[in-house]
Amino acid sequence: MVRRDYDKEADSFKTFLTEYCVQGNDGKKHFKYSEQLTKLAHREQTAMYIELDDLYDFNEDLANEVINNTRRYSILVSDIIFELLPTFVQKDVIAKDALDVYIEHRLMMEQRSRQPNEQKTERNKFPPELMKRFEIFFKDLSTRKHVPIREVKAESLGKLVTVRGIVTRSTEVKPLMCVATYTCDQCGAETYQPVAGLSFMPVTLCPSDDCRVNKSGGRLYLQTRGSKFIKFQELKIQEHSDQVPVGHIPRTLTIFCRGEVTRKALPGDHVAVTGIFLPLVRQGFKQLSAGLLSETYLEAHKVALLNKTAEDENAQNSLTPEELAVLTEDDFYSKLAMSIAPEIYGHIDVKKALLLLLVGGVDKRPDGMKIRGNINICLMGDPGVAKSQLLGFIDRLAPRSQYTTGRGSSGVGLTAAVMKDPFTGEMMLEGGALVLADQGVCCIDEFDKMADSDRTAIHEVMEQQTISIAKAGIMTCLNARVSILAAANPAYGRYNPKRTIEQNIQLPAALLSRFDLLWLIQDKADRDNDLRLAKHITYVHQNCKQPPSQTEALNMSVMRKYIALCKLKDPVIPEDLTDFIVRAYVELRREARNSQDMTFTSARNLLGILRLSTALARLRLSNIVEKDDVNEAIRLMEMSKDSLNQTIDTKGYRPPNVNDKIFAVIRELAGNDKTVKVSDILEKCASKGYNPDQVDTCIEEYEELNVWQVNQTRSKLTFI
Amino acid sequence: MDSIANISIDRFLSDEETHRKCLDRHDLWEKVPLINSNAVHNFKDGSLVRFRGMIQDMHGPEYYVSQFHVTNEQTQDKIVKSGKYRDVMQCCNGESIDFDFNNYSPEERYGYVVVSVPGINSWVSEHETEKHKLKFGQDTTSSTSNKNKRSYEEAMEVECCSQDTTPVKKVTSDSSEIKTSSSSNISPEYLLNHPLSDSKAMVCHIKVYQDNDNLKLNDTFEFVGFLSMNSVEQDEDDLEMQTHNPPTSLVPRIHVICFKQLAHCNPLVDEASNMDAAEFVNIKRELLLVFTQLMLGDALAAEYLICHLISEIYLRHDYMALGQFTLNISNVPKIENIDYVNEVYRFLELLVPKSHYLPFTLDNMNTLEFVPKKDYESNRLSSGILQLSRNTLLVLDETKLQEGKLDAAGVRAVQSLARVIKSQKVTYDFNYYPIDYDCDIQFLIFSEGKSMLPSDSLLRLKPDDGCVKTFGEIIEAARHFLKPELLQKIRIYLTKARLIKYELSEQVQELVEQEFVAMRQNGNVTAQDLHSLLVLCRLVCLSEGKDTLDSMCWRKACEMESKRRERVSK
Repeated sequence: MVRRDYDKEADSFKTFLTEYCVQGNDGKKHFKYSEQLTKLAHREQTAMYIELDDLYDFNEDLANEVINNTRRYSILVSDIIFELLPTFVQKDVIAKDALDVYIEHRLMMEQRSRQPNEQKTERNKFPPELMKRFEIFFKDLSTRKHVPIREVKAESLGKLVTVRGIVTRSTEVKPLMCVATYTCDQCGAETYQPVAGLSFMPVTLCPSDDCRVNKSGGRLYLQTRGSKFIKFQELKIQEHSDQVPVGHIPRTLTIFCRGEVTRKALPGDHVAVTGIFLPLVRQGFKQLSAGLLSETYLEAHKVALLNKTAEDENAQNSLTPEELAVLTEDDFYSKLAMSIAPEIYGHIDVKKALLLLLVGGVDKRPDGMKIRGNINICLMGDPGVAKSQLLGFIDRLAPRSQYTTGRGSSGVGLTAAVMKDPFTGEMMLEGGALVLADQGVCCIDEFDKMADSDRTAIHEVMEQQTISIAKAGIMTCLNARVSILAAANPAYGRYNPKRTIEQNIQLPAALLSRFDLLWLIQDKADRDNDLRLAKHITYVHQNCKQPPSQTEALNMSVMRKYIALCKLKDPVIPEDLTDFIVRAYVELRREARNSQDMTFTSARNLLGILRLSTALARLRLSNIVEKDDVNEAIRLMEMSKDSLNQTIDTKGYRPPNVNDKIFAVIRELAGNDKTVKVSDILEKCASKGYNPDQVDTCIEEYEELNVWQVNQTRSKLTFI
Repeated sequence: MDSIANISIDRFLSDEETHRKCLDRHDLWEKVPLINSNAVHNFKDGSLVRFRGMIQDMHGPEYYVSQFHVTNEQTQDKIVKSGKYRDVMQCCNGESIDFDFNNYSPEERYGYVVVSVPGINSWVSEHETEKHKLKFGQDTTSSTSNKNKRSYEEAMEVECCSQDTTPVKKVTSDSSEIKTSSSSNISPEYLLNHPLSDSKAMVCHIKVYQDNDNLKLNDTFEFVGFLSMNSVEQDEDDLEMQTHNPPTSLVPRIHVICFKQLAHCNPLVDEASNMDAAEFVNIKRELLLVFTQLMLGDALAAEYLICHLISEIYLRHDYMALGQFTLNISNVPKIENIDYVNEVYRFLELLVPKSHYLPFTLDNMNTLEFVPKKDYESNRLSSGILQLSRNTLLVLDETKLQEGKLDAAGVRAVQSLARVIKSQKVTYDFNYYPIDYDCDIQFLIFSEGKSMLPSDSLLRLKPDDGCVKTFGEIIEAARHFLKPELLQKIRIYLTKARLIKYELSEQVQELVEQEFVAMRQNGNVTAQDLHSLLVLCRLVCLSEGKDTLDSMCWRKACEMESKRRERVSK
């Protein structure tokens, strides 16, 4: 290894500190570090961060060197700054604390007693640690990735690393002796002893010239006021749960914080710590007894608190090209849907809907009005059709989610509770499941079993996406931008197709209409389906894996990353599609009116279609909604309606279709007469909301069945 | 090369690869003394030993000085010594360690806490002792002279004292060992931290130098390494230091050179020759005979019990664990003067290598620790009852449950038990977040009505009145019937059945599919039912020593299931 020329490097550091500048917004040159140095000189600032990004700009080589041998350079830089500082002093420095005064006095004493011809400068006698009233920290390159705690190994010793973790323990901030100052009881001379480690051996014999020459054997006494102490705190951080490999215990890392980096984090905080990974040097007897082992710690240079969203951003950056390639294949939509709860067979449309719920539509705020983008879904079904499994999967998959049951959570548990702090007696708000799931998913199982009073709290959340609290003198409005995924059992154990939904799950229409999609999952015997299911299950048991014919389920973390990526998109609906959507909606409305629908179609459905189609566009990572998206959204909506209506077909009773209804109208119109005018029929039907085309098809159909005859001019209709 | 069992650290280091290769040979591996069945104080510091156990906790990496210089004070010669596989720098008289030579490269090793396999039954350890016990002249205190694993009363006593309390508990046999720890104010129980608080358990701290990625929590391994008896200087106040460096007399330290995973803990199996199908059927018949009597004349229950004993998880996919077969035997009668469940357990523990009996009492639920929890004060994982290695039989006796109040801890305990039974995952409590760990515990629940815990199959016992009356005699007879040879055979049978590679043939697959479709047409059968039916098929098939499912087994399983359902719906 070539020995580095530290003198040369010291020079380049000097230039860097004095000359590095960035172009400010005002066009002026902004001397980042020399300005800070001035502040340091005037004791207006104690900590100075040297950003390695800047150093990298200035001298690439040097920055890398700093990363690899950080301790050496941090001493080097601090010495340089110590040298430079006096040149930056522009005005008198006001003493800030006892130590400042103390240093000043010592310097004056020294000056007075100095022999005029003596060569040494006044500071030399004092250890620089005592005189330095600033702290130098390095800030890691922004391009460098966070290292998992598990990867901090022997080769990282002495290097600058940035790790992430959760603080599990933190000690009190204690003063740590940095320079011990002693006075001699014989000659009064002062002796200084810099302390590097966590413990030190006090000096007892005075080393000053007086005492040595006279052999007076002066004893030294420690002077607390003259010694320099710095703040010291020991932290322990532990790996995040997602960094722990299966079957391992999370690793921990000890962190020493000194000076300005103390008191940055409390236990439970997520932090990113930049620091130097160092072995703990023991002294004296301990060195012998500890023998071959050396403990390690991270000398913190920067402790930054992380919030969860920052983590999410990091996560989606790391979607590899291969993963992205898989995700952009043609059938990615069904593949993604299939990867939701892969152990549950079938129910592909439900899974598609759940996928859209995770992605979510686009929020709109035109002129203070707020239209939610979150999609709410309610799953209904007989007991034992894997509703809870679906909910559980979504709960695990969603980056932010809360899982609760209707029975288990009271209104307070869902929204927010006002609590009295036992120590201070102050009132404070404690968020419930809906508040905690803000910008996420709230899965509510057994939605039907919730008490009525609790359910009212959900009304507001589901449309306005806020929670208003007026309790114990606290009136406030909390955000609850959640997607609600509810699961409900039918009222009498099994779904009764002869009843309406309201009767079946005893939920008010006002609440039901707030769900964009309602799915009825039923477990029906169906030869083909059952055979496929049986094949699937036997295959799983035989080969201990999912059948290969199916698209392989995507990894949960890949899904999470992709969904996070989707959420960045903000698709809009182009002008030319609005007509199409409007027409489709009108069609839906009409159909709903004409068929004795078990569900209802309202203006909320139009919003639902918009939400679903924007979510679909997001899923394609596109910024524009296409016609296909709208079609798919309408299809899903119809499928969800079908799932509620179709049940009747199988029981030998089907809801009257349009033709049947028109026939009923005609029958009514005819009364006892045998003939009816077609023009009358058209008029009557138009008033009931059927268009002429539908009437024509109805007339033709029944003519074929020989129910009536139509005359040549098609103006009159005669019953047979 | 036969001397591998007595090799010294220095000799081993001279040629690590060759020496490690030696251990590949089974007979040489077996020659290394097993400290599970020999008291540790009989071994010298630095001797090669073997230890069998389950990984209970993992410590972080440690950095040790791979090389250091020793200076001979007379000749001023410098020698380089290796720091591998030791705790202290060794130097003879007249030599000093050169601390100033600072150019060492630190290397990593990983620390693990390994406990002797929790729930291991006495017949296993007795067998081990017989096989591996070494003769030491001065050794009079036979540390493993345990007759039965422990009597019921004792078990209760052990279970009732929770982890952190430090009751005055008699320390078995070698009290001299433990008194060396006098300086520390921490009880031996606290340091042992055994999942089942087993007083005979042994704990070792293991240092691993390579391949540590293969070491997973709760797996069972056999380690070969150098014993280190040097105590580390410790700080009186620091709880963490004390728990991480316990006295070596209590918790020996082993520097591992080699380890291998154990597929099972049955010492009889590797000796036994292959069992053919006929013998399988024979033994099954005998076992069925015994179990039918124990199940009070209920042959169906006996079949289910055999299936339960050989069940294990064979596929895991996310939250689905295939092969789990939690059995709930309900309608357990009350027999005068006899604790029925306990008597049954007495027999079960004679048959399976690992088992634990847990009376499901309110007191137990409220006071026992079930889920392991990270203790940040001492930086270790405090164990709980659910920290068990694969294929451990856990018998829950719900007949002991009385009416009363379950406190918060009790509710949590019941919830976590229910979760584990459902998904075979234990959620360890790391305070700031939970982490799921896979497990494979066979739960056998005895209850009067349907158990409050979930189960895969609920079997209503149909006791025969005659059997109930004469149960006392039945026990005697069964004990007499289970002669040592038969007992050995049954033990081998139960482990062997698990090791069979199982397949579903094409034809049977088709048959199953057809029948399932038919079943769906007839009634309310869900996909979950097919799953459990296939699991039962597999177990029925394996219990007869077959490796492919045939239509006979399928029919039999269907029949068993329908009989069982009939009883439940009644």
